[in-house]
Amino acid sequence: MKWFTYADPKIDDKEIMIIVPSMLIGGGILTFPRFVADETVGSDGWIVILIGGMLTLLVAWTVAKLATMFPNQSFLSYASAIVSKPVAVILTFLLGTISMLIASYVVRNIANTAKEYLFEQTPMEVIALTFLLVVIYAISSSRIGLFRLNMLFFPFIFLITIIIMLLNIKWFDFGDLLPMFQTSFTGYIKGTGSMITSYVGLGILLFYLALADRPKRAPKMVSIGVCIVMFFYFLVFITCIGVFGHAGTANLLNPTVELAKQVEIPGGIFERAEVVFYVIWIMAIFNTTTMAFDIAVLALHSIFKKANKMTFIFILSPLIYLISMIPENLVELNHFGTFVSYVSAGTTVFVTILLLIIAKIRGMKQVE
Amino acid sequence: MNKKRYLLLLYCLLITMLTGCWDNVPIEDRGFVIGSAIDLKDGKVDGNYDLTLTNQFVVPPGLNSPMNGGSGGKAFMNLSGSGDSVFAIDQEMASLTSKMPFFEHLKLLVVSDELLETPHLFADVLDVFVRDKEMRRGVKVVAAKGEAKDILGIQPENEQLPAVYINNLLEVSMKKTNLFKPMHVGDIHQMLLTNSSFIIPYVIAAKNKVDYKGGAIFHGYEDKLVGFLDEKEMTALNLVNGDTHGGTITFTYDGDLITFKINNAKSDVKLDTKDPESINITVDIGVEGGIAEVFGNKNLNNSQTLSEIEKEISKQIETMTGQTIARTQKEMNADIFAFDQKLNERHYHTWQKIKDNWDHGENLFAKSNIRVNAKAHVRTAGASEKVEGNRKE
Repeated sequence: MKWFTYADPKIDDKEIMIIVPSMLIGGGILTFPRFVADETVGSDGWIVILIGGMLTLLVAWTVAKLATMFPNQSFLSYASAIVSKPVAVILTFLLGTISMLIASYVVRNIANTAKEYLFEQTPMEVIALTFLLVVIYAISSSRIGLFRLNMLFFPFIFLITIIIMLLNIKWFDFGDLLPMFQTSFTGYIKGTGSMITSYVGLGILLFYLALADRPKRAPKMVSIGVCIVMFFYFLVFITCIGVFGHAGTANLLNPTVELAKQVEIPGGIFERAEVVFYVIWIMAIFNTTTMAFDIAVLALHSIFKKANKMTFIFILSPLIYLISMIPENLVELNHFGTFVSYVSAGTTVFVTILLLIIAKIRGMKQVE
Repeated sequence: MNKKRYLLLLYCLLITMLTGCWDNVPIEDRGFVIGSAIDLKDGKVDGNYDLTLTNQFVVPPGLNSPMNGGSGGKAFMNLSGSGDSVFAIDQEMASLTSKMPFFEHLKLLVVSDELLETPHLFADVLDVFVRDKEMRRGVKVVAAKGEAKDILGIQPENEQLPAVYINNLLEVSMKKTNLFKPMHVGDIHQMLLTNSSFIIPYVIAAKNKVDYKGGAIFHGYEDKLVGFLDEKEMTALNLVNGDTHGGTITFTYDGDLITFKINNAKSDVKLDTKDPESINITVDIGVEGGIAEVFGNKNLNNSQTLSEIEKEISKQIETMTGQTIARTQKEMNADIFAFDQKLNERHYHTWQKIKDNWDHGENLFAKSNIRVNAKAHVRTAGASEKVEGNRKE
């Protein structure tokens, strides 16, 4: 067993594994069953989840490979070695900006959902600000603290979600899982297209893997992380289909929230389980936001090394808040979310492949 | 010095954080609604239907445990309001009572048969129960003969709250007799989305109880109530659906009345879609149970009598299910046996072609050939062979 030392700046295998689900499971978990059911027939959505997951696995593995070709070097330093310093600065800046946009979207998403279901009278702006203040508090201290928080929260998120799924067994109808394998090819493609938006955020690995304790094991750990996410989504989706039927799932705005609302323990001992669900969901989304925000800070900090970390936090916070307030309503917010997701996924893949190919062309060997 | 000033400013700002929660509603100010009833007042007014909504609020001081002795007051309060929109009436109700209506604990929704008979109105009214975030999908729905609000006005003797009484009744009914499968808002939403037909438990208010009248058939495509099933037909329906763990079948054997109690029933539906114009549906029903009551003084405990009785029960089941199916095919043209769902599940492509002609259009449901094969197993004939000795002829 490894003793915990507070100033230990390294992250070990388990923490790398948990980074992935902590980042990927966020706002999407509430809505993805609807998007997937929209494009597929019966319970075929699980295939879409699997395809999306496999693609993500591939990307995650490639990102981890690239990042660990240069163990313990920051993104900027190994990108500079591959494609000159100016290009590397641009790439870093791009990834940082996208990370900031993700943080904005998530802040707004949580504020909207919390207002919708929890705080009817509280202004959405206040909910967003309060949440953002807590996030700022979290990232102001040492970076390693975030990973410890991930480790702390994740078991709760996982266990409570599984318990909520199990408590829904009473409503589960196996007949709803049929028909199987009837979706058209275009249905699968479209479904995967929307599923991708729930698998977004792998870009952070490009930065965080520099802190890895044993970089060699990182690709494997990251892959396991993606598998956890896949399993998670699979479970939620199948439960939604079994409980609400295909038509119901495709029509509910937040199928996962409705699942939590359905839970009723006989005898009226325990109703309104959505309250517990919100607690863990906010924990999950908190992890997503802190990491996205932290990456934005990290990216800027690596470009402007002399400045203080807090300066960037104070510059970025109002920006994130203002951007998050731009969408007027839920429809615009969803457009914004889709846009951010695709841009983020596209950039991560593009940057990774670009760097890998150029590194190969220039014949760079793995630095030992 | 400067730093201290900043800190002072910060502390002042932090005070605003202590003002408390915007959404704080003290529990005394919440009016817990546990039952709602919707009636159609009279016809259309300015193009919209005039609805009457009755909400049953819990009055906590009236809720007394037997230990404390009843205070004499009622534990509930029914309030009615009228208007076009269910949600608007709910909001208005806040001005009628001193409390804010709170629907998170809603248990029961009663709708009148008159409302159900009006096309599309039920789906419209149900919208708020699906859309509103306070509503849960587990709310049970019953149809009422006559005024729906009368159902919430009954005075049950063993329960203090009428809505809880009916809620428990539906749950016990499902476990014990399995005659009435409770319909939940979520189930109905699912059925309405796929335009499937379904059954809502149909009740009538008596003085201190509710009486089951059977099931109200709601036609998914026509979007209205099209007919009723009586209790015997409900048993038949449950046998075809195969989710029965209770219920009785009464028949005469050799001149004597015998009651068979169903313990377990399974059904297997086979669909033959070779000719979509006339689909062959075979339902195999397997029933297990025991003899619960015998009039007369026969000894049933020999294998020959038992196998004859089994045959009699099987015949009985085939007749009653056959009649029920024929009635739904010819009179209501409503597929309440969920054959449409099974077609969708097992013959997806055929179903996609015929789904617009199933219970409307070319009426393929009414044209399909449905056969029922029943097989009954009598596992026990009870604790005693007979009650009295030989009878005087």
